Amino acid sequence: MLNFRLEQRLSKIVTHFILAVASVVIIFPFFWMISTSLKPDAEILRIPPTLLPMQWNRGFYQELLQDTVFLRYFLNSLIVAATGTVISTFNSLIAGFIFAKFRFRGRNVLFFLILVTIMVPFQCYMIPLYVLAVRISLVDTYAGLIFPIIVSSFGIFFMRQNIQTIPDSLLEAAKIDGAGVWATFFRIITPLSVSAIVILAIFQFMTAWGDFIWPLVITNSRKMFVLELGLSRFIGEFSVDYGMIMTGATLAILPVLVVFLVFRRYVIEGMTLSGIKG
Amino acid sequence: MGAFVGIRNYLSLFKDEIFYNAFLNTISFTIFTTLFSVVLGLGFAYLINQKIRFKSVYETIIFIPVVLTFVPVCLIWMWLFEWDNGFINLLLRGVGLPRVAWLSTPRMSLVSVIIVSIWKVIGYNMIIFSVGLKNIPSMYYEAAMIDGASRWTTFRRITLPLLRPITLFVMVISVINNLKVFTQVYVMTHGAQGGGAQVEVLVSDIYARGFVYFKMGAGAAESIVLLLVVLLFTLVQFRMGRER
Repeated sequence: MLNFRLEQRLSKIVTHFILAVASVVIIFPFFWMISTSLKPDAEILRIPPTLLPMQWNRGFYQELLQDTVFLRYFLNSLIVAATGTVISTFNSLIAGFIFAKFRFRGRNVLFFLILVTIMVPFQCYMIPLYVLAVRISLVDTYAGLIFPIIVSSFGIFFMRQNIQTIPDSLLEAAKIDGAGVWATFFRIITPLSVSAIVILAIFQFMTAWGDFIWPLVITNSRKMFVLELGLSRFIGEFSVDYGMIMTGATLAILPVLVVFLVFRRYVIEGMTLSGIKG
Repeated sequence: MGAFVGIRNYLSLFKDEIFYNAFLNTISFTIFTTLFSVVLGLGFAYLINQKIRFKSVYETIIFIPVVLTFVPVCLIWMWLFEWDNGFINLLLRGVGLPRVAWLSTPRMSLVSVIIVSIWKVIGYNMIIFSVGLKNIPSMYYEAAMIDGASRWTTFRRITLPLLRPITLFVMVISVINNLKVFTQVYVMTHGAQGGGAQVEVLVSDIYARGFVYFKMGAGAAESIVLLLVVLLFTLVQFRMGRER
């Protein structure tokens, strides 16, 4: 028995050891990023390097936070991701409601078509999408950035699956009480789908915020760049000025990190949602 | 409206060496990234699901890279991989090893991109495996314990076989996602950084054909190739879903 206990203790210590080392390795790049962003130029290139700044330097932050171009990137990302998320979540909810609770001709065919489009990667249809955007003059506009994300076939699928679990008897009761379709939608479907809405919204927002290839294709003037795109140009602009580059990376990462740490459960669920999506 | 060109776009694509190079790079990226991220994801999920303290701390830390977007992550790693002052090379030098030219040749660039991609996705796989591990009824483990099975035997004979469906699922998802790799390849090896170390994958080649050389037809043809490969794995995923 003593032996067994000892073995358990030992295996716990080993487990903790492995996980602790792994955590340090995984977190180190972030630590290094923040540390670099707070060092003066000379110290950044010092050999051997210092783990924490010997001399704290806020200069990069002051410079970048007054840089209107950089702030514009931020604003653009926010506008695009927020608008896309609100619109796509709302119409996913409505379409999900319709597919889940109404019977009409062609419903299954339509739903099947939506399922098929989930499987097609965006990268495969971005060329025709771009040609379309050129034809209707959406290049280098907010509308151009947003229009591919306002309808999400995955969102429709996800909401339908959720709304299907709401019992029909609730809807019938509402009907007897004289509630119309919209009243049912706002009074019953929406309140009962709150957590699904939150999870879907987080997923959509994260996806839109991190999107890179479509902004790269559809925008060409600096004032329309989203944060990801603007940041990717930092390497060229600041060549080897890694203090500035790490400051930009820190400022871009911080909001996302805060959201994650506050809404941890929802974010994990929202992010792993795409597992179903593939 | 242009003229109908039949399969000319495809024929010229299949004669193009750049296309083959991009295709092969995509395949090796997919294989290595999938393999390592699945094994490590499973390992971490297993360790985290031992009844230990600070479980949620570890889980949160390992998940952080998943949440972040790719561009800042690439910038951080480019700084770590830097030749003269990058932390990794300084560390190698510190322990008396030769420096590595991480982002200087196409081959090493691909390796670097793979490392970053694995690091970013481990947490994601870990969470999915965690769900699978929690679904294994504890009576199996109790039975194994009564039979006096060692930890390793229990893992090999009970955990792994029962996780088979979810392992396949994670692998297929990873393969599909990795086939679509673009951002990290583009940010870390193209553009100003580029030089001789540029790595071409399917999506970056599609992008180059369509939006750098304005050969939309050739780009679209390559898109179809990518689509077919992805669909193949999607079908595998569907069949698995039916079997479960």
